[in-house]
Amino acid sequence: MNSLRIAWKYIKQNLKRPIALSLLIVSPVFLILILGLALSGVFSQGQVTIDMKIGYYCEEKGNLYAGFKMFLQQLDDFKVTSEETESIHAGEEKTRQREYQAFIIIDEKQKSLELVLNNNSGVQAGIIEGILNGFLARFDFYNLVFRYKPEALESVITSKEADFITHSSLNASRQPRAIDYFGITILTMAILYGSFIGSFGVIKEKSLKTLNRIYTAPVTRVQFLLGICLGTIIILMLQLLILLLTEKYLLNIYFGENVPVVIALLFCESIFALSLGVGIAHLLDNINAVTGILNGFIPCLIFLGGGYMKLPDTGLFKILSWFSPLSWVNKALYEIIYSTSHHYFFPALLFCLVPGIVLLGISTIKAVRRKTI
Amino acid sequence: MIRIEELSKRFADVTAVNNVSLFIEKGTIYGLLGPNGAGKTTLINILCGLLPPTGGKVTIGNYDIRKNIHQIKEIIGVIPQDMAIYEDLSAYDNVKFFASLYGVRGQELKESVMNVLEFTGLKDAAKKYPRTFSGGMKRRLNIACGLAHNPEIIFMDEPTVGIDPQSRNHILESVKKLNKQGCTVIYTTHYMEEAESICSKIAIIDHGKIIAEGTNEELKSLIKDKSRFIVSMKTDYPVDTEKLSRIQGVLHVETLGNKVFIDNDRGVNNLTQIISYFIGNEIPVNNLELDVPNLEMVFLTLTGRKLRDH
Repeated sequence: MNSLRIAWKYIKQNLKRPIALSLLIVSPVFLILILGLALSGVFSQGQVTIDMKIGYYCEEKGNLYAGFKMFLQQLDDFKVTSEETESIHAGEEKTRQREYQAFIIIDEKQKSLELVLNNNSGVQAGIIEGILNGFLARFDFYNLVFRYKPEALESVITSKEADFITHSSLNASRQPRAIDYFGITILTMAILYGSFIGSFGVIKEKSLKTLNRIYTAPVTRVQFLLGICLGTIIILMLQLLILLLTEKYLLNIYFGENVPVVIALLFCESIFALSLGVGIAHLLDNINAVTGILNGFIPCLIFLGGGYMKLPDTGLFKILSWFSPLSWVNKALYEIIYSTSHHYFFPALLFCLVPGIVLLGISTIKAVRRKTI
Repeated sequence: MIRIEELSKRFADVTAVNNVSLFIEKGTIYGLLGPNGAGKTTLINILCGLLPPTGGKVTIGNYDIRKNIHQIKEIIGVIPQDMAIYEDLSAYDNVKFFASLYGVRGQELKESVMNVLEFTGLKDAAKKYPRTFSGGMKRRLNIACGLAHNPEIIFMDEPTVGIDPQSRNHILESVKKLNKQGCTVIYTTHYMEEAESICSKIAIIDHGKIIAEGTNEELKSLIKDKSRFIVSMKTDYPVDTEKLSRIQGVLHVETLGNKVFIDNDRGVNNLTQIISYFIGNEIPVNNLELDVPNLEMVFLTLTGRKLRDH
């Protein structure tokens, strides 16, 4: 019970500091906006663009034609421009003259597409073939929906996600924008900075001399440690929740389809942050040493985790980043959000929880051994 | 109530508490009087379970401090020398938090908190934050935080340091009231006036050792063969204290402003020589008085040092 009372007191103290709270929440959002907007150009260079012009012709216009037209609108993001020709001949001629990189003949009867290419199409021929295959697969899916649940067709077609068939290499909506990148990295950075919340819980009690007063009451050192940990994790979770909701619904940052897994991973990072702060503050008696270590250590972890800038995937930085739990968390988050793979998930858990458990374990052992009497 | 037997505490090569033995009866206000660094706070820290002793035995109530510290903590209240309050919590929340750690809860908790705030004269400031308080109010809040759980034994470690006379009087009166309500109070101070005015028994401590123990009168009787002249000069003339000290029967001479304090052996009649010194050196004297023995003189006699700087 005493741990709960200490935790509740600590939460109350933190909630009564609006400036500190706003720094925890407002500054990360502000930073995301600044970096996301300022560096959007850098990230757009990585976006897939095809930059080609295609022609198409349809004799009898039906569902396939309508679907193809909608599909062409989506290709605008890839800088694919299109033009409907008056005849097959005109289209073939323009393709021969290299005005079009490809010409598509839509056959409503056969429900098929015929692709005409010129000699110079090269790689783009492969891309356009892949796009058309994607379209046909999606069209087949729409047909199935139409056959078995026609009333759902409209919502399926107009769905923003339109993610029933994934073509990750070509789907611009799955490529992180600058704001998406910083939305994630600054969120994980803000959580790591939560270490200070944990350390202040111990440091302030020491500097105010209230810690001794607490220990003169029937409170054990382990109960105190547990109370501060509980209080800190609740504050961090509150911070995480507010940031997550703000990022998702106000900044439209993409968190993927598996949000619970994302939250679970961020929770594990919070455990690491709290154990780092509480552990170091509990183990060291010197307040200046605690703040000095955290002030030096946390920015290093953030830098190696790519929190300040994207680090190269080779050389020394790659080796060093291996030691930053933040680097694993960020990798795992991007993987969970932008692909279905969970390759980095368990290493990230390990890199957060193992140091966290070790630090808290050492603190607990110290608390148990350092009996007042 | 509290039995201390051959208690000692060493930090590396410093002995802070040296073989202390005391017995503190229930219902007393027991004073620990000594200069700064005498070992008073270390002794209190051992008694309230913050420091483990190096040697010796302590029993509080029927509990051994090494075996039953948890039970001991439930019946004691500690008012530390340092202000141990949260500036970002209201006075009410401060007291409530510390009282709750002793298992006080619900309506009883609310009533106890308000009672103790009223007792310390802070009822009207219950919802205010300590950062807006004067030094005296903070001291009183510091006391309130150690009282709300109604402890049987209260350890007060220099609770009046650095406050105005009005707040000091309020605190001293509060200590007396608590004692009347049945609390045993262990009160450390380096102000002999405080020890004299409120303590029913006093132990004088120096360099970690108890050098004298007894009631106020018993301690003063230790120096019944001594007296003190206080000579008030017109202004603060330079006085040759060494020359005065050479007068037969003079034990110690000290000057403060325009006053000269001369401790004497009562058995020697040396008043004429003392007056002659002032006349001979053409120092105009306004007044001469004979001071009664006090604890300051007791300490000076026993240790050869002053209890505190004036």
